[in-house]
Amino acid sequence: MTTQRTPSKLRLALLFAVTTVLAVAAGYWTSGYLLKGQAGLQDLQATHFNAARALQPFELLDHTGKAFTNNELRGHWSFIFFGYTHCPDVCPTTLSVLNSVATRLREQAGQTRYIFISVDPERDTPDKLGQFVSYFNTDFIGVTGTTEAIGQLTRQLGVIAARVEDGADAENYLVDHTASILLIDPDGHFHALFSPPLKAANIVSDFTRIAEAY
Amino acid sequence: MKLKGIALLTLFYSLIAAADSPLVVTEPWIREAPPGAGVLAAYMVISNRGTDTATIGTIESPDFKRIEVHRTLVEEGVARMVPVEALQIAAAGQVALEPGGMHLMLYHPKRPLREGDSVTLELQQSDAACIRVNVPVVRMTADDTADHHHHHH
Repeated sequence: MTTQRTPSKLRLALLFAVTTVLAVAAGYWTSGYLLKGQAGLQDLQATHFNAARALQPFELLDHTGKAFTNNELRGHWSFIFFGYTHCPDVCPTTLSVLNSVATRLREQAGQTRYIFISVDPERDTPDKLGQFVSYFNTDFIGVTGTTEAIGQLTRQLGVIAARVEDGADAENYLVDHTASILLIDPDGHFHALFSPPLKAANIVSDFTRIAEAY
Repeated sequence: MKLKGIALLTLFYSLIAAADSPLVVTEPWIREAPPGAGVLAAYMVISNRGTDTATIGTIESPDFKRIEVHRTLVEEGVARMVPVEALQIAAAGQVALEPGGMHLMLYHPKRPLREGDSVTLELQQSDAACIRVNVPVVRMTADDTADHHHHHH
């Protein structure tokens, strides 16, 4: 009995050891395989969310007067910038950057859209927004809506928009606003964030990697 | 940053100094804005060749209702524009007004301004002369605006 028990114990131990090694190796291999896409995104300049965030339903207007809802963010990637037409420095600079991004990504024109959402709906009528965005790129989409609807969207995206009154001239108030570009994925989920300093080349290379891993 | 030839020449050769002012303005330009824009931005480098700090009190132009100096600040991802009450240039120093930084806010243009147009700005130095600067309107076409001055020096 004893002569038989020892080899059997040894066999069990060996089996256990081999199984453990195999399990660890298999786990290692599987996790490496599964995380391959994510691991490639670790050195992005963009902020890439581990879990893209779904958006609550919203209803806005595009610059042609058509409804702009969650549906308009599905089936393609959307680059979104929040700003206003009375913004002469940051907003034109950012829209120029987005135009450069669009030019560099023109081969994927059907899969990318560029949207400028007003944080100043009081002054930014659809017409005015249309003139503003078309100056940078005729494919860009200007979006406005009621103050409530825009507030509801900015809050869920963590976008800040704060009106600053001008004591000398009530018509010329300023609006502090988030300076980052938001990336919405083809499911219509908030997927990544490009923060200043914004450079078209960096945005394009980060976006290409994000879209490949998607 | 790519500027069209003529505008670029205008930038290089617009060196304006009033005989009785220590201030010299170089590379002035107004960013062409979309049609109907209510506010435009102007940029320039102001150098002080004097031995005292120079202060620019008011800036006026026959082509705009009102002009202010603002500074763009991006803090925690939020862009703010902060009015600069008095633009000061240290003795033998210079101040650069550039995209994403300090700029002139040109409110309510009195005529449509397109690339190729130019505008006179009057910089009133406190207790000193008024400097007249001829500023071309320039269309920006690329994205690396922060490097504007470095690329063209």
